[in-house]
Amino acid sequence: MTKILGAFCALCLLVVVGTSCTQERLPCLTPKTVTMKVKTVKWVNSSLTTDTVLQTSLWGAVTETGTRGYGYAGRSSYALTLSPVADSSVWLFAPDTATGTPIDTLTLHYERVLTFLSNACGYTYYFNLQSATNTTHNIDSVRILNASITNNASTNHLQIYVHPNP
Amino acid sequence: MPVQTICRYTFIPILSAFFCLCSPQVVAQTENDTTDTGKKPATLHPGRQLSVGFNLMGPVLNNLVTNRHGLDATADYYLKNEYYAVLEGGAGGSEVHYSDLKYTTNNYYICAGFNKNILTRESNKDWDMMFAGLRAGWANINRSEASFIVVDSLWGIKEGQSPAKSFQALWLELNLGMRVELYKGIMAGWNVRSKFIMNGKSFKDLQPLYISGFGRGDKNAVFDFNLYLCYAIRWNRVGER
Repeated sequence: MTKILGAFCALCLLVVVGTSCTQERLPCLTPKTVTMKVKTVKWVNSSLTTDTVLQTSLWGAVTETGTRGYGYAGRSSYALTLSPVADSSVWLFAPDTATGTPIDTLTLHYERVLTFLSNACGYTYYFNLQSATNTTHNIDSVRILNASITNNASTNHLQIYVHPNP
Repeated sequence: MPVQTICRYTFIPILSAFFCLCSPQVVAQTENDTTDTGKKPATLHPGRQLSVGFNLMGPVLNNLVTNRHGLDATADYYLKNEYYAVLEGGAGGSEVHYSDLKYTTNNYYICAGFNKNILTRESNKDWDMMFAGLRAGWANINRSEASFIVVDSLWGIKEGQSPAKSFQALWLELNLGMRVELYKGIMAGWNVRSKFIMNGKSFKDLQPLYISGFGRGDKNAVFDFNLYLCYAIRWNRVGER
């Protein structure tokens, strides 16, 4: 009987110590940032395109508090974010800042999808891309490859066809 | 590695080893043991037993863990051939007050199933048991309106609410444990439970932090430990050995 009671008390102690570790919030291990992957391509001829690396491109997010620009060197793929506070976002795009090409405006319209990740991470927004409109200084056209924008970083969502000689 | 993960993978092996080491002590035989003599015990008629009890870990955890609460009760009835019908129930909830997420949940639950005693009964008075069991559990969960904040460093902050919701959880449990009689019908024991949620997809839109009776609502499989104190009443016992 003494052994049983001893074992019982020891078990109580172990469980109390073990469960006391569960008070804190777990760290968020899921990506919370949702980005739209954009690829730039160029027409080689009327039926063929190729990935085009832009040497000195510039992207600018038009937000409520102003425009914030991001410069890239030697890239053909970009990760842009969409606004969780509105159903559309506006990005400015200049494929070659070295030559002073005019800036294009890319407007993205989408549906926001409120998504619960976990108690550790809380909520985030996924997006369903509905349409994309653009000016045509340097952009020939825009094509939606995958409308569903989630925290899966391996998918290309948008393809921008740049004029042959921007 | 998060602290909870470290604790989980540290304490589960320790407790498992502890249970294994304790088991021979629990089944240690008395001086009147007949096992070694090779005698086949005569047919016993232990009669009927109904025991009711509660989980001692509930009040302990309510004080230790601030964002959850729960109380659990159990009742079992001896059927025959060392099978016990088991009915368990309880209530509890959780409170989430993070900087970007706030909600509360309340739930009650019922579990039904059976235990099979794997110890050989020594006499009609012997109600000590080491058991394996199965349970099916059901919980009705009410979640308050959840308020949340999504922070985007570029575009701004979006605040919102997710409406209150009621939903149900279904799960299956595998139980292993032991129970000993301490003094004239007063019994104590522990059990280890592996629980598997069956309808987790039905509340993916906001998994509750804690479901009383099950455990963490954002896990499809959880382990649980319970320590029970029970009182048993018996009748129809035929003779004494």
